[in-house]
Amino acid sequence: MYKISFISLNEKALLLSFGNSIDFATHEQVIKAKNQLEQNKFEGFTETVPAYNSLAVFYQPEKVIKTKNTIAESVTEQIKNILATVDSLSKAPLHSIKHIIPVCYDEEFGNDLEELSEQLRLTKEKIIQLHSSVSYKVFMTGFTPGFAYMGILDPQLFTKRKAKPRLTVAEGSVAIAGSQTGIYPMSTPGGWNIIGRTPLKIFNRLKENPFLLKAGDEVQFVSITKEEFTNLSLV
Amino acid sequence: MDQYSAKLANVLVGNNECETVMEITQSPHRFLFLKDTVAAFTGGGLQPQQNNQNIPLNQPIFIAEKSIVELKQQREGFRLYIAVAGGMKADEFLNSSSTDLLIKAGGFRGRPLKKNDVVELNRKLNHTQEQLLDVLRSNAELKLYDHSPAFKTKTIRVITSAEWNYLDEDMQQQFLSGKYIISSQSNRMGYRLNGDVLKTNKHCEIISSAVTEGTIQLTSSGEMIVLMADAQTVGGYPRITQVCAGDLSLLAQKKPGDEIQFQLISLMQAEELYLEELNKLQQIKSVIKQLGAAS
Repeated sequence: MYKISFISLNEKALLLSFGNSIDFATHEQVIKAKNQLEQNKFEGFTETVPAYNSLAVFYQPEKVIKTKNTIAESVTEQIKNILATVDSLSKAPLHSIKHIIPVCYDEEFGNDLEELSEQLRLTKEKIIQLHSSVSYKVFMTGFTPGFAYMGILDPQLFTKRKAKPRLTVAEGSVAIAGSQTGIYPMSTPGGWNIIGRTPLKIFNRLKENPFLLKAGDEVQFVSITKEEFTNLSLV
Repeated sequence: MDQYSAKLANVLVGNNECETVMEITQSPHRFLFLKDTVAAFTGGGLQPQQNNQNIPLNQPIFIAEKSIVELKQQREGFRLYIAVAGGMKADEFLNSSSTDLLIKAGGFRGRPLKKNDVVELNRKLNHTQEQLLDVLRSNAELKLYDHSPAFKTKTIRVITSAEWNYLDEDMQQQFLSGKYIISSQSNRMGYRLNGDVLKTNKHCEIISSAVTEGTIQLTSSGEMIVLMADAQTVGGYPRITQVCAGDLSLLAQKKPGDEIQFQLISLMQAEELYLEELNKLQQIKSVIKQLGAAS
């Protein structure tokens, strides 16, 4: 197990930090710790918020069994005990769900393809090929409900965010920024470079689980035509 | 936003503390009660009145069928809460009946209330609440809570957070001695603060990580944002401090233009404050319960 540092986020949450970088190995430790804590809940546990190299663990202070000076210290001890058993599991591969996500990279949707092509000195076809040829890991969700932060992009696609964020980005827009790619689950402002759009609903509040993607999942983008996009949108 | 007032309103009328309540920030409002009701008003900003008579806050009261209650802006604070015995019927989304205006979910059809909306009771009154209704109907007054929160207080207590060391000692001092005004660019997601900017020689960006209500973020311009009830779950700005749970409700009663100051306390003190608050609610709960059992 990684060396984990503990710090209180507030009276109701501890922040577990796993090193200082964005990489798959660190993230795998985060997800393993998350799974372990969800399967072995301590008294008062409510939920976790995973990110790239950290995991926030929320709890109800009044329900925690106090064994130390502060409630936070008591929870820290209990979490350490639960995670101590992860060692034996850490070599086992993590089971993750793989999603195939169709994307139409037509310029009608990929508003920034033209600009990116110039900036990255790659043809549009190359950008599309690079983006859809590997699968990505969902590192975390956030920003808006269900926005998945995925990576890691081929280094040739690394870009800055737009200097001026758009006031509205269409729902389903597939975008890149830095070493990451993401999908806008709903129409919101946004500063990432838009290269396509998926007809899939990434967030559907009428479903029992409204979120299509969660941290730890894998995503493979598949290029589709405009016609296929229209047909899939009707489903 | 002011969770304490919301919970207090609920326990005062014998509800579970997480029943749906109404939060109101702008006046004037007028409500017609369609049946005999046990209600409680808590929080700040507005003064409820019936026939131009002030209705006392922070205690359960009887409102007769067909009465009209008006709310007028004239008190310290910003948000008024109304709870009724039996709770209010609301849509639930992700285990919450709070209204999310962005995705139009929860609460009353995912939108703010408007004229002529009818809010229904969520459940039948339990035995205690029936007793409460009878006692109050006979004109008895129940003062269970004589300690009304001091919304005038400017001091907001904080604990250090993950990136407190992004500020050097001088800047930490400046943070703690500075006066900050809540900006007009504030909403339920976060309060922006105006005041002397804080300088750091570190890059104001972290690998995105969890944030929560009360997290104080330092932006690259040196200005601060205090995340509030509708905060996102992760953020990329350094988290310098964290408003303690006990004072988050007080902060929620502040409005744009109000001045605040920060005071540092230890995590242990913050935990104690949190438990004290819970205790107060627990005490009111047991008094209400006894009342039901006694009659």
